[in-house]
Amino acid sequence: MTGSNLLQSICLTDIRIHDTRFQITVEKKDLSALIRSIKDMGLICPPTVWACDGTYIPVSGFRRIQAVQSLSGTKHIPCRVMPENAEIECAMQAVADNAFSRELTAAEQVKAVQLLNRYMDAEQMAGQSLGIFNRPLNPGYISGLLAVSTLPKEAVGLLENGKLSLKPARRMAAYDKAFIEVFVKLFSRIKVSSGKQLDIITSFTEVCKKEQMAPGLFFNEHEFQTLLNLDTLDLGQKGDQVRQYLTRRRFPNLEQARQKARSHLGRLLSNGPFRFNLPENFESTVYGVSFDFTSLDDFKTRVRSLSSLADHPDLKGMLER
Amino acid sequence: MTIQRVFLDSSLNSSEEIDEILSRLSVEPEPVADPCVVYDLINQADDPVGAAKSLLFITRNKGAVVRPCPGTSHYTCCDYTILHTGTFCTMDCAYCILQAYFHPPVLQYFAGLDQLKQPLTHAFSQNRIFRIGTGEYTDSLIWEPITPSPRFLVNTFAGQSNSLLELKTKTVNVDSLLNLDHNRKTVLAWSVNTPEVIQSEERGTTRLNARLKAARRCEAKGYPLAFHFDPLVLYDGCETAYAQVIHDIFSHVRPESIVWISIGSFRFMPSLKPIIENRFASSTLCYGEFILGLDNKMRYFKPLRIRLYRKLVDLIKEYAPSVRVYFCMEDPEVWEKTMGFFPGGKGELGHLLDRAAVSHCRLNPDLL
Ligand code: SF4
Repeated sequence: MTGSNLLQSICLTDIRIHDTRFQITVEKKDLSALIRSIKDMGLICPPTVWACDGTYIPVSGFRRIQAVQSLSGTKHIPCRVMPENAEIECAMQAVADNAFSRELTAAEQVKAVQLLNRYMDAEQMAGQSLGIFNRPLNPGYISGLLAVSTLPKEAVGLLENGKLSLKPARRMAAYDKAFIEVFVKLFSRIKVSSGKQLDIITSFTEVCKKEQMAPGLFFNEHEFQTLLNLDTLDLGQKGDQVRQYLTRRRFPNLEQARQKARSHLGRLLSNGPFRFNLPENFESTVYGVSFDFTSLDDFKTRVRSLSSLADHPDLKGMLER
Repeated sequence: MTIQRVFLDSSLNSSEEIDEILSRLSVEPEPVADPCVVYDLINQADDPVGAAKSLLFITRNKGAVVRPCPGTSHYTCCDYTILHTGTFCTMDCAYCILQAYFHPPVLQYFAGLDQLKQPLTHAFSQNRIFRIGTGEYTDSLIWEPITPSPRFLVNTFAGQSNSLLELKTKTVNVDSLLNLDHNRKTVLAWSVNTPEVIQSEERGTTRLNARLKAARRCEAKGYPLAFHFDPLVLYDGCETAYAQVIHDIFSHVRPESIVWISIGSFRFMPSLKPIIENRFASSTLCYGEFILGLDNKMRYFKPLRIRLYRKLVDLIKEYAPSVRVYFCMEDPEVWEKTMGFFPGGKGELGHLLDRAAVSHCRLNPDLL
């Protein structure tokens, strides 16, 4: 069977709906709204299919085809049919159809380059990116997405549900299998921003390297697991706790000094409306203090209260290095 | 690291110096009119840093031959002067800053001893002390076995009285220098580290014991010596290990032979970290407790530096109370807490080192 890229009425049973080779979108189960719309207004935008071996493989409009299939009594659906010799064009169109209607999610970008990579390399994709992705992409970025596509499918699942962002996923792809497995497990149990994900990946890896410990062993340590199993915390809070724990483990002395300074500072701050600036990482010896005032009298009161802090044991404690 | 290819700047005239180098390298030189040929070759390699270590480019120094050490902001520097005789190194240390410093890194030997003469003569004519070293952008003695340059420098410095030459190395390449009439104007200096660090972070360098034996040979020939604990690396047991290095030094050479001992802990531009991670996969060097220093370089968290410095300084002082010990790029707090003073005035640290130079190398004391 041959066809042209023109509208044809296709028998629904001739469409291999389970062949998802061109699908880059995430399957959404609930079709009820779409079915309602098709019932009320008809199929506004026909799906695209590829004529192949006497049947048709969906290129775009997977959900529309499924919705029409579920309408009782409907046997045919209008489709744009791509000819058999247009497999590459089908792949490009599968991506473009989505990319020109909205911004692709991270998971979709990964699936898109994985699909296109069957026919072209990163350089070629970059050259045609404006027409396919609706925006220019450089070869380095595309290579990063391709690297992410090599991660286990659970990792791509995390991308889909927003627990993993693209940049951390790209970083993960550079690690060996044992680390990747642990990161997949870890990120499935927390939810933090992309920057925090990167922090967690870096700290976790560096602790393992520093302490020469296998990632699985570290992950299964009692303290780590206790944090992840805390029922009282939501996924975001658990993520923050994990990040803080890793920082303490990675920088034990620095964190201890920070902790000590914070407790002194907490007690000092209860003595007046002052703001203290501690030297970053305790490298410099310059400390700062500031306060607001509303009048001369207010100023005098604050200065007196500030000067009384000079003998405060917590100020001395904070300055002790 | 063996030299696999030699590129010869085609603008160089033939000379005894170049003939000597080429005759000792069993590699046919390839003339190049444009250094970009070498740069491109290095840049195209999977590991440009590693590749550059086996490609020697013999050329002329096109910049300043004598230049002040750039130092770093916020940390006290020692007013050193650099004699620029070449770049990069055939050895391969994980912590080597040169991996990230040159773009691309090129193993250059600057031929033309005549080129060194004029700026040195100018320095020798001035009414001030100079401490001059060749070991900032390269190791001072990597080319000693095949070039006349170190011999030339030792002989040149021997005939004046306001400048000290420091040849800083991790090699034991001193044979051609031993019988020279150095007039104590050349200090032979070794960067030292613990055997564990040498084993895990240095490739192609010599063992600690070999360095100390070479130092002893030089001492026997009347050369003043120096040692540089740089970079100190913090790891479990490092305090004991560094204490043992100090013990080893003083069981090889006499305190009176040592002009100075410098101490500096590992610090690095953030851009060095991925290079180390890629090139030294099993190194744990980068995973110490580093913080971003005031000069935007990563440094060990200060209390950790101070703790180790204190131990080393106290121990060195036990062995050699009068040897000048100084810190490379540290701040007032570190000095105060470890040495009990801070040479914070303009040129004060430099002056302390000048005094050590004058007394050990018989420089003109009137210039202090
Ligand atoms: S010996 Fe010195 S210059 Fe050579 S690689 Fe090691 S640190 Fe760098």
